[in-house]
Amino acid sequence: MKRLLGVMLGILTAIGGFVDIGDLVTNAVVGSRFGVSLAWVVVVGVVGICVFAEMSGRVAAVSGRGTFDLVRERLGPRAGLLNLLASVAVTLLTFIAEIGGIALALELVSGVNYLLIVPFAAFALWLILWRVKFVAMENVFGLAGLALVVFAVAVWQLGPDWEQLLHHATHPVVPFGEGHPTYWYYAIALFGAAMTPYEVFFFSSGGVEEKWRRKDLIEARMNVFLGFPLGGTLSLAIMTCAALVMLPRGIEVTTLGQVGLPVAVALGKIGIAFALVGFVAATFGAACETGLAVGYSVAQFYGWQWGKYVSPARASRFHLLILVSTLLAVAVLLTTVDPIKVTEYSVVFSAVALPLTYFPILVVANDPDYMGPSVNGRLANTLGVVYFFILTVAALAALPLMLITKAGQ
Amino acid sequence: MCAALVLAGCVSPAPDEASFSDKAAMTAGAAASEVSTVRLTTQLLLADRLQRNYGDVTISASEDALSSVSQTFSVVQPPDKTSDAVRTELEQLLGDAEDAVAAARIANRRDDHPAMRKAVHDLGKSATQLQAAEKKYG
Repeated sequence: MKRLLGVMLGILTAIGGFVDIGDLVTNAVVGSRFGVSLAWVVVVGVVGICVFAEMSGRVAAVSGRGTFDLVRERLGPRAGLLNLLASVAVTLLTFIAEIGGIALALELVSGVNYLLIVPFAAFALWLILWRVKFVAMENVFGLAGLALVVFAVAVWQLGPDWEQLLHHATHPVVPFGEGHPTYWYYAIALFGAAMTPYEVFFFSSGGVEEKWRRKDLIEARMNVFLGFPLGGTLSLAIMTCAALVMLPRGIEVTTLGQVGLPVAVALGKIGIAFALVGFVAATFGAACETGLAVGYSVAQFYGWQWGKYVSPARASRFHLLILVSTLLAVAVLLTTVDPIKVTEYSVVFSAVALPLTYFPILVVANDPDYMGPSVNGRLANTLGVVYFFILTVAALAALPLMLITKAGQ
Repeated sequence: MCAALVLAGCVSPAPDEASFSDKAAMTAGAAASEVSTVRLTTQLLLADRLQRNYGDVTISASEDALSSVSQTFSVVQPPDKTSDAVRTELEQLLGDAEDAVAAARIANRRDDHPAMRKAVHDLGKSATQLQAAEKKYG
């Protein structure tokens, strides 16, 4: 019974923890401009993150080593360092976006300008990362993030023509007034939002911290194969809400406040209260994960002591790195750079950086000498290779499309 | 990464009538979006379906965005006399939109329902005009 409850809790936190500021903003922007014609990308992205997370979780359980420990071993120190720099740059960008997201969400609650909130939010975040236990942090934010289910309830309450909605989702066309390059640019952004690299660093490093063994893989797989797809349905609900309310009114989403307006249309003040809890939990939870992911990546690469299960005194460089990253994020946000713009760029650069960490994990997961009986099976290998191809194409196309479309304008 | 961000963020000049018209259409579309946001938010506040802080922050953000859109367009050099006419017409519409949004913000903060209802009407008119301008110039 206790084990079943543990599994349930894991799945629920995976659902609630799936959505972050990138998912909130990108899905709403896409819904308001393209309707549900890009819903297929969320499906492709969710399957991709399941493939990647399952592989890296399995590698972590078998080897007991983190992603960047393996990246250095497989690619060597020079290529590995380039890989580390690119991945950490993208994770830092995401970290900045998440802290900005917390401040924007709290601004909607309090009415206080988000720039005044940024230092306090960052301090609270650092305190949590320093003092609060890993499991408590994961469970509280993951479960509170479930409040975003309100978007799914809002879709139902808005009473759409389901047949027409399904037709638009399954017969995607580029809407009038939007060009093909812009459509594909947002397809990549949505893909990057669903497959953000930090999710995998966090997931596999958490596995190493919790000392997963082969027997723990069933629970980890349930979290991935049930939690992530159900989390993905929240992304689709956010997109559908924007498609139903914002698109017909000609509103293009550019702020976090606009993301929640369809919920107010459908459910009024109570709905918005749930949405706000969901915004704060999703961004706070993701900020914890990205902050830790920065520390995990660098510490694993250089072989430093790392982790939330180790006291800060013993993992001093790991905690110093988190502190410096937090200060850097605050400094960037206080330049008054728009956090939503940072978010939009972070999801695209996530797509660019993904193959860098995906490839070494795919190689290790396919190595029978290393993995023994847990080596990739035929299905995992086929999906792994197909996704490596998709990731490479998306990574190569992302920057040219960003320049051609002036970042989706 | 930095180079891509800088290049993607650059505002290109408008060397001919066609590109000036494109910029005008894009400006009208972006402005219409912000005006419609303020209209929807005001309607929700009137119906007591939205928290005041949330509504206030959303309206202020749209007002700032509208002002930024308007300022960006006002510094684009019109290449010829035809473009002068487009500029004059659109600047008039943008000015009207900014006035309507400011009136809505004031009415919402005062919780003045008759003024909010008038603002919803004016914002609707402004959004329709801007959407028509977007189609005309696009």
